Amino acid sequence: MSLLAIPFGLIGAFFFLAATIGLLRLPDFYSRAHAAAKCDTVGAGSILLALAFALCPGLASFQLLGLAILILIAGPTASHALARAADRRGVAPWTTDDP
Amino acid sequence: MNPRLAAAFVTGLAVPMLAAMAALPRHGSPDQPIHTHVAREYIESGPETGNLVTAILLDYRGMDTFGEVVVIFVGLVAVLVLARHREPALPAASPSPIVAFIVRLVTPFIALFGFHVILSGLEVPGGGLQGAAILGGLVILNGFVFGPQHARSLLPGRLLPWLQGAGPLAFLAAGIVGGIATGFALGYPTHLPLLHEAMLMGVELGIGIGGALIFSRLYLALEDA
Amino acid sequence: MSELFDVVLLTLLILTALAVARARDLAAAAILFAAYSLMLCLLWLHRGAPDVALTEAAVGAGVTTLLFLVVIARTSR
Repeated sequence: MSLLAIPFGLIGAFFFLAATIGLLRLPDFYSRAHAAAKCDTVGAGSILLALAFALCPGLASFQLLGLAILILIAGPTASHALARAADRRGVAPWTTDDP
Repeated sequence: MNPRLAAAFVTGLAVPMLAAMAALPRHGSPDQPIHTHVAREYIESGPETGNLVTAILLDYRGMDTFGEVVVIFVGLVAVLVLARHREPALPAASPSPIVAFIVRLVTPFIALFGFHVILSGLEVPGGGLQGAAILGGLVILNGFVFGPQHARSLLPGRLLPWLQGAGPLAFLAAGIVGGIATGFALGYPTHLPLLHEAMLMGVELGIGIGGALIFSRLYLALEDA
Repeated sequence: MSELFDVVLLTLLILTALAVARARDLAAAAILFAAYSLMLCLLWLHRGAPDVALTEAAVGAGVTTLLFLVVIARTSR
């Protein structure tokens, strides 16, 4: 069971890395929010799953699973709220016409 | 106030305080009382099970904590008086259906977790103030999403003034019960474990509920101002 | 290894504190202050004070940030 921790940990680390690069490199608010949402949801979710597998027989792994579920619903909701607020305030999305 | 008088007053206060500070053991030095014998004494004669931090806060130095709770609650109530509302709160902009659904979904779980943190403070890290912050944050979250009117409707109406002072009141009640049971104010009856635990839980619940209501009222006062 | 983690956390703590002081936008400063609180929370946890860490997370990063944001929304914008 604890061997499953390795692939999930690697997936989480990859998504954190890619999302951080995206956060720094992407052109506008919406695409950066999209990158940050990946970091929150997939990255942190995978790492929590990896930790749950690593500590498998035990109470801690169930607590970590609960945290992963919470992140799974809270992360996308927060990014949605951010993007919606930006849209309402008239932040224009980046298009290919922009330099 | 006369500025010279004020300066003299502050100096008169500061000199003995600085002198006392200079007489304290150096910060981090190994021969502070806490390092030589106080901490060991606490750990050795503390309870066998349960959260040692809570035991020290509510039991060994219960009087100090009582004073702290009174000071914090009086301070917060003073802030509330200063920030009392002048115009009615604005209704919330229509919330996103997704955010509204998720907040409705997680609200009972967060409330349960808040009470869990308050009550489990006797056994594991946690306690009244931490649970109060979680419950207060929950009310503020609902206020952000559904508007202050909805957040206000989550608070108890007629009991509010009494529950706001629940922290000091619960401490006072525990002090009186302890006084009757042991003969010392805020003494804990260690020969009656059930009553002992009930008193500690009552104090934690009082601090938790009272603190949560004060955090929420602080938020509502800011929204109304 | 354990002490290296402390050093990293302390460095991040100081960096976030400086970032709070340097931030021009008040909302950004409030969010950075929440990050500072979370660093401090991890540090307390790692130094073996879970009670203080829980308080820091709930009060420092949670309620205080929310109240800051309410005040900023009601005053400067």
